[in-house]
Amino acid sequence: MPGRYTMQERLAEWGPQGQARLGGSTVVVLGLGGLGGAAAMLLARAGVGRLRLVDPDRVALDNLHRQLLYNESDASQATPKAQAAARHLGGINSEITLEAMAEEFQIGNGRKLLEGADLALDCLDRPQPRFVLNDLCVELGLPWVHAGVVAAQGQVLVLRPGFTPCLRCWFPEPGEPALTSARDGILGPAAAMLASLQASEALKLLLGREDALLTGMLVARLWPPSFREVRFSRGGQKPCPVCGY
Amino acid sequence: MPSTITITVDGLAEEVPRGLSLPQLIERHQAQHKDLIVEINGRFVHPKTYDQVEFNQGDRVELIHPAFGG
Repeated sequence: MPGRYTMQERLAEWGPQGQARLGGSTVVVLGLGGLGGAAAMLLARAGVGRLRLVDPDRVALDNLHRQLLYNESDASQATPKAQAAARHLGGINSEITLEAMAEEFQIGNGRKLLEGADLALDCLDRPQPRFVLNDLCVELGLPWVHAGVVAAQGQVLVLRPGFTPCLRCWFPEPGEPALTSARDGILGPAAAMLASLQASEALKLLLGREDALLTGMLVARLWPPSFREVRFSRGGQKPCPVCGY
Repeated sequence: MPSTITITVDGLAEEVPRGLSLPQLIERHQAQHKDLIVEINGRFVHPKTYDQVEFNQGDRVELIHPAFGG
């Protein structure tokens, strides 16, 4: 009888050894909104052994059009997203370990939240903590996958300290973002698409398939459709003061 | 030599004065945000090199505003 993971173990890129590798992995998902909820669900279904689910917010009705993990009951009870996510993911895959952390990721607790992780997923909803994550991951040598979404567009970036540019290489002078979900909204399918792309890169990293990773920043837009991978160039500038790339 | 060249900006052909600088193009498109990503012919342009960019006929430019929502 086919098992839970049979169909993905048949993938040429995967196999039983890959499945065992996933089962022994720990991923920290930072932010459990439209990106993090969907990405966490894909990783849970794929059998990542331990997921640490981090978000300080509670589920609200205006989340439901794009945040696939939650339902009306979560919204009416204003359930903390970390707890709701752990409960729903546990119903999907009871063989994995789920840690619910209803905390805001910041400098003070960042190291604790990343402890023991093989990989972090940046599904945060503001620029500032993303740069905190960047600096911590550079310090810890921890790979991570960045994704962001606003309106019908977003981007995905794989960051491997020592091997790729860091987030500050791409954004040397971060400022107020031109796009904000509060003003520009978020298209539900755009969030799900970017979460899928992010989860896919995460699985490649966990499986040790660096050869198949994105090599630049994938910029994706759904409305009208456009997919582009931007290749990094330092343009003769000095190495990054944060990561040294 | 013509005084203008045609480049593509965000997928649309645009006639611009020869010698137009990248900061001028960014201003023309009201895209002056610190987090702007500029891509020319598929390659990221580092913000500290914007002044060194010289456009050529047929260049493909993308002015990308990253999305930091989740």
